[in-house]
Amino acid sequence: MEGYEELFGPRRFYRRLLGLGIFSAIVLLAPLVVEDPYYLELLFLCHYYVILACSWDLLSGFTGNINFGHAFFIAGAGYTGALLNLNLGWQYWLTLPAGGIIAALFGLLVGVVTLRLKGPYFAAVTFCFGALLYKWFMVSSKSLGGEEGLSGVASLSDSPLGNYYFSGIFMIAVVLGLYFLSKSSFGLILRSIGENETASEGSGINTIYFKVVAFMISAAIAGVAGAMYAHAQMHVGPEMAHDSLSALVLMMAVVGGMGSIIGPIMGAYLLTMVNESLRFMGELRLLIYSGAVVAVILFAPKGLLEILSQGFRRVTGDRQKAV
Amino acid sequence: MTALVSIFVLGTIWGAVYSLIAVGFTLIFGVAGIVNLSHGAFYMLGAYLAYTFMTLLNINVPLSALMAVAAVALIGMAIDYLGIRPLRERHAYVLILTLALALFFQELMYGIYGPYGKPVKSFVVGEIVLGGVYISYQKLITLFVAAAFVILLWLFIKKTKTGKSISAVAQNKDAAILMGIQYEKAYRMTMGISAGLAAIAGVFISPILEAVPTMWSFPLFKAFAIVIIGGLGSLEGAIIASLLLGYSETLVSFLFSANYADMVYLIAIILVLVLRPTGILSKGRRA
Amino acid sequence: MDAVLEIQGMSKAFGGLQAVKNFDLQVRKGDLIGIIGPNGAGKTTVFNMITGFIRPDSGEVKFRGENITRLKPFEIVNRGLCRTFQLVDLFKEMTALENVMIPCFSHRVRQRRAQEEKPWKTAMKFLEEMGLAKRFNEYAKNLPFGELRLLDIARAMATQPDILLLDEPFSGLDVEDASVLSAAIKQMHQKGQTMIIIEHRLRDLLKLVDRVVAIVFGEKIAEGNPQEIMNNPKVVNAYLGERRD
Repeated sequence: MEGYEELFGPRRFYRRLLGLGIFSAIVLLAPLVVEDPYYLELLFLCHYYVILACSWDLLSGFTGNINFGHAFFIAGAGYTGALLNLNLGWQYWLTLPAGGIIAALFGLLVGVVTLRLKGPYFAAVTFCFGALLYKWFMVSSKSLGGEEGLSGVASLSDSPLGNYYFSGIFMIAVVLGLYFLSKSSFGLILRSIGENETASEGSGINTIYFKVVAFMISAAIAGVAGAMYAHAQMHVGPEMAHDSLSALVLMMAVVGGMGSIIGPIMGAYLLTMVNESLRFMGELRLLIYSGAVVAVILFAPKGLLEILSQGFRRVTGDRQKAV
Repeated sequence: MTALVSIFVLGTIWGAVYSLIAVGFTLIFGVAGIVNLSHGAFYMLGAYLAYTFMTLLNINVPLSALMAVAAVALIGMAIDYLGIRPLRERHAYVLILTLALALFFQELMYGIYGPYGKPVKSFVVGEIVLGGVYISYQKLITLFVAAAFVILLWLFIKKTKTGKSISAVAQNKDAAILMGIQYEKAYRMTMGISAGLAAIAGVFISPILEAVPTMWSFPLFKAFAIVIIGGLGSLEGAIIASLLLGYSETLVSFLFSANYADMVYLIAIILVLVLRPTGILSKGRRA
Repeated sequence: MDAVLEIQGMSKAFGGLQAVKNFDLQVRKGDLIGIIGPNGAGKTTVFNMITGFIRPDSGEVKFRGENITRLKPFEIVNRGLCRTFQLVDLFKEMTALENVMIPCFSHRVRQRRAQEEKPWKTAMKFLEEMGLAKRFNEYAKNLPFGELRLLDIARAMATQPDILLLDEPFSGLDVEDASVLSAAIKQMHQKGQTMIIIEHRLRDLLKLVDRVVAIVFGEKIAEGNPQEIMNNPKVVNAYLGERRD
């Protein structure tokens, strides 16, 4: 019976905490090395996408139901925050939570509507919510700015450095929270629902509750991120609800490795950086993204994380189960 | 009165175009059990190839159309062989893969042709007047071609040996295997046919709507709505639902605006899946 | 008679086909009951209706006096009625231990578990009972079929059921695995576990159970101890043409 003490004992917990601790330290200390505001803004974007990809992963990576409309939550909260700021003068410490609550309610809505749906049907309905919101934004020129969106939103902080730290700390909190949530019984239950919902129900799990709660958490986090983005850009537009954003977030999580929380972090950083560095190629970067996703799905469906951890295991001869 | 005729005619034309795209989609869904999100890309490729052959290379219309459709059919089969076949049982991955492929093609078109719409000359110039409404010949041809091919497909599935074997695989793959039907071939052929049909739609629509790199998404999701309403794998259902969608969109567009018309299929998908997860006209196949 | 489980007049039709007709059954605490019948007789449908996966057209299922007919599957499990599945699917990409941990997070088990005991410890106990302890870190998809069946039973037992329903547990097992399973069932019976077993393979079943119910075309045609059932002409008739062992 050797080994199972170790698998569940405190050593494993501290090992994981260490890894994430190092990551957090790098994030917090990076501005000592990186001073150029251009890079700080780029890293802000990375933080933003990490939060989006990880929140997406909590739902879709674990339950296996691919959400094609994450932008519904992002934009819903983003616009909510912008409106509250522009009309009521609320600042970010109020708009972000408000956005999160609205997004959670959106998550409740979609979660309940999609309860009995799986696979492509689930994907289709989630897509529809996003698309409907997008179209609604486009036609509502008077109240919601139409194609132009809403400008003049109060800024998040007065410098790229401020934005960097705000988003960085938020990201670290989200990553830590989601990671340990995923390794807890909650995560295991979600995975069981994704593996075999019938068996999960047959083992006494209230799958309805868990699916809806996962939706709400995923949505709320994405929503707060959306509101944060609204302040940082000082603007919201219908493109925040567009399916290309949903697709982008999805691809980041898939390339990095769905169902792990860690994978999406890598995917988000990687694709955001690639996006930037290939800016000169214009629209072709999406070509590379999608090409990358195709390659990943065909050859390494579990994403970068799997490739890396297999390589790591081969190097260290470590036969333990993956992180 | 003119309005009614206009709505009816336009609705029928669009219904016919949608049905070309939707029957292929429902076939794949019904036969291989997969959702091919790159289906809309076949439509798009048809349009772009029509542009390339007809406008750029000045090849005559019939030959261009033939080449475009054949090329897209082959691409479809290649995608099935290389991409989908290894992943048959993993539906989530097929979804993501085909979505990525669709985006890939979109960007490829951006790269090769640029973001502006590419025009294609109408195959037959001119219009007729029907009930006080001007209808271009191009639209009429599209209608007839669409109807013709849908009927041809229906005959193929119901009457020919190959068609019936495809239908058999759709109903019960294991039984089909026992009867010696090669299901892989059936899948690939179905993919080729459905891609070809979508391409036909693209070719004939290209003079009406310009070819743009994002044109793959709306027919895809509308086809999805149609398939859900009409029932998976049901040809008849797809045809009826296509017409329904064509009419309702045209009606809404007339009463409100084109933007709202674009919301019809979205709301339809949500309503149908929530209220009757097996589809309205289906034979009750589990969603 | 103190029945733990009472089924009265349960019926279900699919389309035009009457799958189950007027099924009655009384189960007492500690019973080990077998349900037999040719393929397609409606046995699994009966299980599905008892456990809430299918809603009966008519009839009632009462568990400890409470009408559970319209409850959801997870609610029924949380009241103490758990089943295994004929097609053992389990959670393929999870380890054996994780598989058995899932039930430990159900409401029922959460309430009963000693506060200090970690879920994985509880799960290990159930694995040990089925002799699977050494496989705890193995992915379910890598387990041989016989062990997979035992794992499913361990999973079901982990819900701490008052009544355990086994759906064709012997199907697909070779002689060795079958005897391991028989021993395990006997042991659980001796410990007082109430069980209902659906089985198609008569030889293994009839040696284990106290009482047998025979279903043919959705209707109960006989009920009694194994001896009576084996000699019942109606039962023999139903199985004629099928391999008898």
